[in-house]
Amino acid sequence: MSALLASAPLLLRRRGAIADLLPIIAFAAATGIIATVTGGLFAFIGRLPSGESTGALEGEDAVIGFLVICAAVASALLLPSAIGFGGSAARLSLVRRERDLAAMRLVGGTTGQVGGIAVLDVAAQALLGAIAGIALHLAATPLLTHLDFGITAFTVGELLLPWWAYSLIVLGIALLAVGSAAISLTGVVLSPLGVARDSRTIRMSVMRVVAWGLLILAFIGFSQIFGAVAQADLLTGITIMVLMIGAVVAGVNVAGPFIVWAVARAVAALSPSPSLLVGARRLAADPRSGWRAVSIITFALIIAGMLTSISSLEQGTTPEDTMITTAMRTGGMLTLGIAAVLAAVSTGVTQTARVIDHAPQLRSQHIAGAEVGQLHRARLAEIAIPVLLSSVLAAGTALLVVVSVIGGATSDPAAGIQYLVSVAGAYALVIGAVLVSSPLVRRYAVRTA
Amino acid sequence: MFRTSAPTAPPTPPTAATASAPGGRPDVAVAPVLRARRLVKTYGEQSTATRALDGVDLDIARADSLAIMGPSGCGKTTLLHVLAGILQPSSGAVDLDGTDLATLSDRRRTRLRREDFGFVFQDGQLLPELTALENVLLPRMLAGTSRKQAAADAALWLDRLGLQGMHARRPGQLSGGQAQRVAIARALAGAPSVVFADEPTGALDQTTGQAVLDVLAQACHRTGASLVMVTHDASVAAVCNRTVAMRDGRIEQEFRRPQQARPQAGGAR
Repeated sequence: MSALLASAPLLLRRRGAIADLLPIIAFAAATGIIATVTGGLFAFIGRLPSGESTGALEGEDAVIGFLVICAAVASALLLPSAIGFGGSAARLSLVRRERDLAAMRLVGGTTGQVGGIAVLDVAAQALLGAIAGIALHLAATPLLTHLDFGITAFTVGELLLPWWAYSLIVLGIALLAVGSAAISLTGVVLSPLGVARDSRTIRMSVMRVVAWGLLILAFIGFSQIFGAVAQADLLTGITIMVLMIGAVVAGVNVAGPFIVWAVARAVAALSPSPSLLVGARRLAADPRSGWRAVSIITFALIIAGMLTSISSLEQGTTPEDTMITTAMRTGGMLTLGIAAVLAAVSTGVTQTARVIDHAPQLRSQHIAGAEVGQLHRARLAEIAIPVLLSSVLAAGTALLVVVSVIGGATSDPAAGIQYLVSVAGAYALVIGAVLVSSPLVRRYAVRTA
Repeated sequence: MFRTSAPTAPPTPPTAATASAPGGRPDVAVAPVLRARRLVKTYGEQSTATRALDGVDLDIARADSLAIMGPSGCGKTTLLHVLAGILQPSSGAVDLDGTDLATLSDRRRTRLRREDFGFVFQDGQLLPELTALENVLLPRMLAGTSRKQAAADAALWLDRLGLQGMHARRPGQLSGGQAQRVAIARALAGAPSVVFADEPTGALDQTTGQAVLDVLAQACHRTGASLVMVTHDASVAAVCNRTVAMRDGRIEQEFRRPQQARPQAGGAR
């Protein structure tokens, strides 16, 4: 093992700046977002009035409890996605190393030895990325003090975590990477001739949509009798309502991949455009990956849509109302912004990795007469379908919840326009992330042409 | 039957220009569809420069078939890439029906490859997410043919090559030989004037490889497409009318097979 460890730096050679940087960028983005979101949540918690306060709360103290709940909801939306992205980064790092791993088996390493070194390599990249992510968080934090939540502006000190929390985050990311890499290795066979990966034909069950549809029907049904239930027992009524809203919103993630798969198959079968055909087929081959690219934005749009509608339904009459309205708008948009950044980085990293992996295909397609522009359009089609579906699902779900619970959507044109602009901006960021790897597509396609 | 070409000698019309068409076609003077003159291709610069092609002259007649043989690194794949307009020569010219490929922009060469050439690679290079039918119809759609027409033509080609009932299968659901037949159908569906094949049986066992070769040669013969094939295997080269042997970037020998020795087997109908 020691000889193999000694030779590992030679065998795990650097492939080139872009290929090596991708997992590190992904780890950095995941860490930066985890640290920023956690810091923000604790900043709100730090404003909670102390337990010694007596009498009726006024001003900021009166609304901070509600804002802490909102911040917790936003964190609950963002943190799992950021952690999931960290796991994806580990798998990405491992895939980049497959040829090296086969070479190590060829020179005498056992599966366990090679697997161990691969996991250590991923952990090293995760550590580098995590440290870079913390640095990004520290650099971005002063900008966040300018955000208007309707309460006294946060200071840098409030938004930063204690030093030991950063150590825990870095350690957590490294452990997450090790765990994800180890789990990924259970699905591959490391042989001297290459790395074989378990592969199955993707099949999606319509039960995903049926289950979501039943949830929606149950939610609509309950919203009709909510008044009666709340009159009998307010706490029970609100608890059931909150749980049902959560289930309907979470159900989007269950139905989303099936809807992407079904639509992609239909588009591929009917498309008159070759680029759309290729993009749709790629999407149908891996609908979960296609949905993952937009899932967090979908959730963020649902939350932002609901908050925008609710906050614009009634104009505040008291300072506390104004604080809540401002905080909800800013919080909704901030959640959407962070989600968009996370989705864009995730899309950019995975698309760039895919371009590197598909370099021989790109070259052969170009040799056979596919223009570089047509190759670009196929990649855009692959992301455009989930983006369109995501926008429809997000707007539809937000509208459903708002209309069912409150009985009407916003009639404030300014709020509606602000929401639509945010939607367009978020998706533009994701599509822009796809375009980041365009020069790479050209380079690989015309490498010898 | 062997001759040695002098790479630095003035260009002389190679034998193919007046060769008989293969497969029992009448012997007529056939103008070369592709003509290469004094091709030089150098990789790298100054002290690291490597001359992959060193003054190659070559004519390829319509409906002719040519095998390019030689040891690894002799320049055979580079020659195929230059002939197909994939690589630009450092000097010299490749003329397709009166057009010098070196004078065309990348966009026009791409269009030319799409409309006039077909390609069969060693490992097929089919798009794994597309069905067999879609892999074949895609280049035609890229060229502007309607999907309906392209699909009809693609289905016809797959059936001709013995792939009935496999149109909806993906490359991963096909055997190596079947996947190469799909690649051949893809190369020929656009009615190209020249089909370029780079070690088309390199990833197949001998029996499957021979069957695929027969299909390729017969299909090119029936459509009148010229076939230019790179191989290091003499038995593979045997399906072609002509063989050129390369060494150090030069054509060292040229061999024309007797017409009656053409293989008769094959799946193309």
